[in-house]
Amino acid sequence: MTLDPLLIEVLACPIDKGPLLWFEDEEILYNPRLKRSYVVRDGIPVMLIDESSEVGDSEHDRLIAKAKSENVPETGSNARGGKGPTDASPS
Amino acid sequence: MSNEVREAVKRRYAAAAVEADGAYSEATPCCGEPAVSTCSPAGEAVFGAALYDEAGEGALPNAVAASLGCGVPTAVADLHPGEVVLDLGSGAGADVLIAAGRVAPGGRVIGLDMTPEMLDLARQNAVLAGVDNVEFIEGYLEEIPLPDATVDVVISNCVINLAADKHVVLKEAARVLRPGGRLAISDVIADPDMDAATRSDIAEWTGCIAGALTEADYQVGLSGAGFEEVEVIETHRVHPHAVAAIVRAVRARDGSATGNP
Repeated sequence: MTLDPLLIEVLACPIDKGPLLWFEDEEILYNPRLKRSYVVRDGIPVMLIDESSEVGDSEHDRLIAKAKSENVPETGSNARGGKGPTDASPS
Repeated sequence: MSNEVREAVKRRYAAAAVEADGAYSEATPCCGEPAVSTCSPAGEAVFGAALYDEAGEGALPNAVAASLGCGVPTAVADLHPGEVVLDLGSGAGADVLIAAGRVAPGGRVIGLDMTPEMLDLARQNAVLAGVDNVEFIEGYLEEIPLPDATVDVVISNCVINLAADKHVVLKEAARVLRPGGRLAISDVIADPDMDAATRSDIAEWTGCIAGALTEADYQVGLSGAGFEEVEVIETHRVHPHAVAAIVRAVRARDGSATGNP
């Protein structure tokens, strides 16, 4: 199940409140700054710190490379007062 | 204490969600043995669906029937089309669905809850009601997963008292509100003389009583979090040592609450 586009606009990491990369095919939201990932369960993002996962260096590199090559969307880009890429078009 | 409280609250409200899910065709029993009691010992409805009356327009009867709140925050929140609303501890979704109707067209409502069973119930209720300007997030009130200044109104129905650290919750509410944004919540307020035995009882905590702030605590917590124009209005007594109240406040416009760069 996918994530509601409205949620992609507003979600932030519960720890640093910054944007997350949304990997739709893997159903994870990823914070590259803290190397921490959050799952999306049946379309509901599970933003509990104690249920998030720390990601190792090789997995981090894979996700970053994939985000670049597949133009993975970032959350928060349309939040009010937010900034960031205007590329909000879902593929 | 705080993890113990969080887990106890989660278990109790998960049980309530499962119970509500199986009980749509019946009225929520008043003073039966629900997982969360909705009545005073005298048998008057002090929590839950019976408080909604005509204010429940726009919400599905199922969502209202499963309500475990102590008031109707949407009745006092003064919502307008186009606004973004965040419901802290959205439960079965009654207040989310009511708010969704008020902010349409153009507005939307985000429900935040830490209990997966309640989130599933809320989403089912939204689908049944045909409401599509709502979203649900699993998260803690102390760690709201939204950026700063993204919400116009924060509502919450009888949930802040359940949080392990209420001052952090109030700070987080201030952070996600835009300057001038409003807080409109129902909550249980403890009498200043609540006894130590009641305060330390985990069952009284998950039943909304032991963890309640006093009115003075609320005033201090809201001011410290960056709120102004704080109003606490008692609505009805829910316990020998506690009342239900409407708490309203406005997020200060000077940006002092968020530590903006």
